[in-house]
Amino acid sequence: MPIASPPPVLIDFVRAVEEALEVVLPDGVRTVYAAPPAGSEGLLYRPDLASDDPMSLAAALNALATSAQTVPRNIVPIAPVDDRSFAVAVCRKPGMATVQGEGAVLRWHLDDIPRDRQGALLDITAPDYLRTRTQEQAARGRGLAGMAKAQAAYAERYGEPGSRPPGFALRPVQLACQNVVVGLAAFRHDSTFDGLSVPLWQTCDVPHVATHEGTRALSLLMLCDAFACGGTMEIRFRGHPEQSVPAALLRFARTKGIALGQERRDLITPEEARRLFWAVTDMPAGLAARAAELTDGGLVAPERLCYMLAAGVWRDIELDFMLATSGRAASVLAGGALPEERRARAAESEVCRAAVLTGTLHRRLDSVDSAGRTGQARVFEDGRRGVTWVVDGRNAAVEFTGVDAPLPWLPDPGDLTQAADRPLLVLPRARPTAEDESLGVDLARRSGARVALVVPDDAPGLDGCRLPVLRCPYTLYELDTSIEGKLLSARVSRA
Amino acid sequence: MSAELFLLIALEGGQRDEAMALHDRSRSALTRAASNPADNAIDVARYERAQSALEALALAARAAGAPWTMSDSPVGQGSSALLDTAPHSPPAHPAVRRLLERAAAPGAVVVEVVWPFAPGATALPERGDGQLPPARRWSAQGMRAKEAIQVRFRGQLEVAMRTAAESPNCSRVPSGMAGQRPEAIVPSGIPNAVLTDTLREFVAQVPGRGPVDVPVRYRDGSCARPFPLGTVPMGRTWEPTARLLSFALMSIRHVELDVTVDGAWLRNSEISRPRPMAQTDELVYDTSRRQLAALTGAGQVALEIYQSGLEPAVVGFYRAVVDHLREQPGSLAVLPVFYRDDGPFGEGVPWRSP
Repeated sequence: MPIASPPPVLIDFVRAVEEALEVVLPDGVRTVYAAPPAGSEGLLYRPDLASDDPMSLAAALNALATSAQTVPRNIVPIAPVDDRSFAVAVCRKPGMATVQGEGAVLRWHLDDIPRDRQGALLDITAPDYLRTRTQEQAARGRGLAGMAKAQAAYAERYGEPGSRPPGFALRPVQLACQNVVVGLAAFRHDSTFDGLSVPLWQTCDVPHVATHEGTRALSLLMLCDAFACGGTMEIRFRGHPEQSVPAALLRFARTKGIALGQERRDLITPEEARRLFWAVTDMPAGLAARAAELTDGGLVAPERLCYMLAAGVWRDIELDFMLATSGRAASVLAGGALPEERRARAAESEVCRAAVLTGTLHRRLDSVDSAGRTGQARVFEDGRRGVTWVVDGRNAAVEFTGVDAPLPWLPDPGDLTQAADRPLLVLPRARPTAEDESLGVDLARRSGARVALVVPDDAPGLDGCRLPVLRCPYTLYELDTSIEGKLLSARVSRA
Repeated sequence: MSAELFLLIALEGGQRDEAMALHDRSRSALTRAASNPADNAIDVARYERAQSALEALALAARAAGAPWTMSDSPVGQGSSALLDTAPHSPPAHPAVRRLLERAAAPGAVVVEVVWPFAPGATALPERGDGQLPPARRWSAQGMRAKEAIQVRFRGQLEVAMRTAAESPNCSRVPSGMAGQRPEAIVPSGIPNAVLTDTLREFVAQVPGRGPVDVPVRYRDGSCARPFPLGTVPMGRTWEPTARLLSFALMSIRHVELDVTVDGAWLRNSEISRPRPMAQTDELVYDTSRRQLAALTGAGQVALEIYQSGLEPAVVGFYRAVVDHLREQPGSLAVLPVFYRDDGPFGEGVPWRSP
């Protein structure tokens, strides 16, 4: 795209900004100054406005200076994101050939937010950002009116208890975080093209929610719905007020390197949906690599794997354990071997049991639960410690780090709790053998980690075991019941 | 990855008797499950518990000193962890023979237990050349919804018939992948009336078409018994001279029908359970075959079937009708009647011999 020069009257202002901030503005910012997208009034901070005008660049710079965290010297605010954050463009300093991320649009929070969330990528260029923001703002009113109608129609038809909408009914969805709505949409399966019809879809960024998180979460809901309805995964936005794939979704996808609406501006093809599904499904790096190996080998469709994680059929650590330790994960994700194929079924059962034991332990280690404590209210939100894991596939062991609380499920915490600075290595086994015990002893000697067996509550034959034994509160039968539920969900997950 | 090994454990004396009892218990549960494949969750769970207990018994015996050995590939096969070591069929596998020789008393049995966490590398399933392809898109430019769906389903039936004729060995398609031969029809999401009438059109025997059995695959990936197309000569008129009975296809779905019909063909509580759709299809097929045989045993019958839109119920029922008509032409006539949101019930095309 040719870069427009600012009109003569603006050139002096741009030069003044560059001199005052000691930066070179990226081409994208010059372009939007020269030719602001139609409708961007009230959105773009302009350098030619007086500092007492809230939409002036000077006023934005003054506000940015109040940031609780140190502001990099090479960013320039271009638009407000919400009341407490700005969209800023990355500039280079004079004399530098280039700088990483030059021209990209980041989000800068004024509040003291977690450092890893500060400066998140909003869009790849300023013109792209302003164009899509303008597009979604212009359609927002019609979208909200459409949602109100859809919600009223849904409440009238399916509001009564026991009334369940079929896939082809328009189903409104509202996504909120701490009572603040961050996403609204309505979906229905459309048999005329065997895909998902989405006539309403809009999201917003708010100060207390991570960048694009509303869009990511609503995309995930939409893609899961498309999968569960059993269609081709084509998603059409026909009738949407923006008459295209929603701008916020386009913007989010661009930050992931995915171009949507390439074939037609108002639809996402099954190929695009596949890439988007993968991008919005939350996977730790280790799991993502193993999952990619499985899907790239044609053993499982990526959509199925993403759905299993997103719908909570299998948790990330459970799937990671299965992928790392067994060649049977693909069969498990498809619903498991037939019961009468006993050897395959038994092998899958053992792997699933160990995976569920691992997942249960991780949930317990990672949760901050104040139950039983006195003197403080019990809080359920944000109750995670951030315990991470690495699966040792060769030994079918899992190493946890960040475990700083007393270990659960131990009759006598003993040494394991005293050595809290060392990582915790567990061998999850539903039916531990003498070889498992010997392996654990050997691993403890070689790794220096705290090593323990994790077993069901009713696991027999562990008297005199040389390793600490963490007894999960579930019996083997309860584990099997839970696993059968997961396998059934995998078998009937599509309509 | 850890390696998958197979422990072979010999059980003697009381443990042998206990193992045999568990084996018998699991076998009878599996037999019961096999007799009703569409509704066997409880029997399958019983079977699995007995097998799991059998394996736990063997592991406990091993820990207590019972003779055992290890194999890096499965020794037995089939539905039980207990290997067949009966005197009339001496074990072919040398590891089992040696293990039985080590047993102190004659008549020992061997249980095979999978140990999936041995340190080492596991053989992975065979990988393909790349990702599974995304689904093929469908487009119905300028058509209204019902018309578009009908065209899509008709297209599926035509392709399925053609590919089935080219590859006549039709069976339950294992993975239901697009491009497999023969291609499957997918009844999921097809409205009740379109599904019934379009199937009826293709079931009719027409010169130059069929007969063929086409695979049926539901959206959940489950594959049902093939559907016979082009097999039965069909007439279009509905002038029932035989005994006329009216049924709701499913109970409870439309209770306002209770004053109109003689009964419900299927029990909603049995049919509408979470299970793969192909299993529901099979359950409906089995039930319908039995009921049709019973009803027509005393002479010709005409049925008015007031339908609800559960696809496996519709497909399973009409597959049973077709198979019944193939065996006993003229014994049965069925008139589909469809529920409509906006008015009275509408009649479909009769399924009857000319």
